Amino acid sequence: MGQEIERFERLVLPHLDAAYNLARWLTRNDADAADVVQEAVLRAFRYFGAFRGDDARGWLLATVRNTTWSWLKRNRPEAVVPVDEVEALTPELPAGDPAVVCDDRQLGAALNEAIAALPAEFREALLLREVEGMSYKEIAAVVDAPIGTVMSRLARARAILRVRLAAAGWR
Amino acid sequence: MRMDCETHGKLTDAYLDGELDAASALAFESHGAGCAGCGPRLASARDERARMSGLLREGITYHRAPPAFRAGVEAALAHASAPPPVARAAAPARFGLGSLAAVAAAAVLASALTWWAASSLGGSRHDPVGELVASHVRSLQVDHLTDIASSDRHAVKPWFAGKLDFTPPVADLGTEGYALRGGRLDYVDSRPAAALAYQRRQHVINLFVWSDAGRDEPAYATQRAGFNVVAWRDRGLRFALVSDLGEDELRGFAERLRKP
Repeated sequence: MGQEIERFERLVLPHLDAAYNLARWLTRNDADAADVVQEAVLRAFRYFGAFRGDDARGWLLATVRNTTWSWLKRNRPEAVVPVDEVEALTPELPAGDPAVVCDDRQLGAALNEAIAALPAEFREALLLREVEGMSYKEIAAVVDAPIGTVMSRLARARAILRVRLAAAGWR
Repeated sequence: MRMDCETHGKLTDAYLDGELDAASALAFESHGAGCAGCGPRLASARDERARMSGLLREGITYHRAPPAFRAGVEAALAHASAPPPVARAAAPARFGLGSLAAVAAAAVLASALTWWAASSLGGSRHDPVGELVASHVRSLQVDHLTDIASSDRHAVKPWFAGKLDFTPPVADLGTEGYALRGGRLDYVDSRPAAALAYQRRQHVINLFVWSDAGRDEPAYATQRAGFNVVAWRDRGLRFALVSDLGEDELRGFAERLRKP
């Protein structure tokens, strides 16, 4: 057991930041993220004996992702509206030039708001791709969806971001 | 394989992500080259993607696990794994035998192998890969990533003059998404080393460089403690990259650094 925890700390805990970041973006607040990640890490440790692969990060993130989604469905059902219900909500590109061109700081704020407003399935795919640098295949394994689904969620996420950022003056 | 405009449009994102297989990428490119509508559309999509990725890289908030939370997780783990008294007594004996055997095996083999291969054997005291990873982790934990913090290689490179008996090459690959953060002095394998800190998205990469005479060696990749390590030897210098970036990306960075 002592060796087991030592191995777990060596392989899995270096990815605690990635785990926290994913949960924080999905739950959208620190207290919820802390609860979820703690639960996920303990669950991961319980099943660590079954871990045979070499991708400890993907394995931990898959556990965190599952735990977060179950937690959200139980405690924040409004945060996990299924994707097809939001298909109609893609914003329209505003006509004409945006009135104000914003500076980098305002653009950064607009970007983070736009990501937070994405449907959760799109948000997680975008984060795993752009922050964690994962391939479609790795993302598919974490979110437990076919590669084609990952591809279309990413495309939709980027399309929505493009519109929201354009509305904030990004060009 | 022929491709129509609609398919070309649908596959644009996957193409820009480098996710099309070779045959599809070929069909995609040959359609784009010959189509008056799709060619320019791809060019503008490529430009927009580069700018959006840049914006995401710079602007997205990365929420790190707060230190108090990390400590709480470690405490909860220790509690969850506390062994019953009987198992506690038996465990150290097994561990002791195992590590003795590993040291003996390493001692026999080490002389016949490069430091690289030797260091991948667990239990050896001569363990440069372990040292590199430990140094990488330390540089992140104690907030001592750089002695000279600068994204200007013309400031970082001269800083090492007089501190080392070699001059580490310092590359500026900021436009390719590898921002230089600075440099510091470190020790690897009991030798003074230059440590250059780069950043890729939210991931820190440490590049360690030290004197190591011998034939040039191509890049090797290994893993330790969940971190990827890519190392090579070039004109009397040993180079080693350490990061939590994926192996493919880290290898890509190594290739880029080796290109003059």
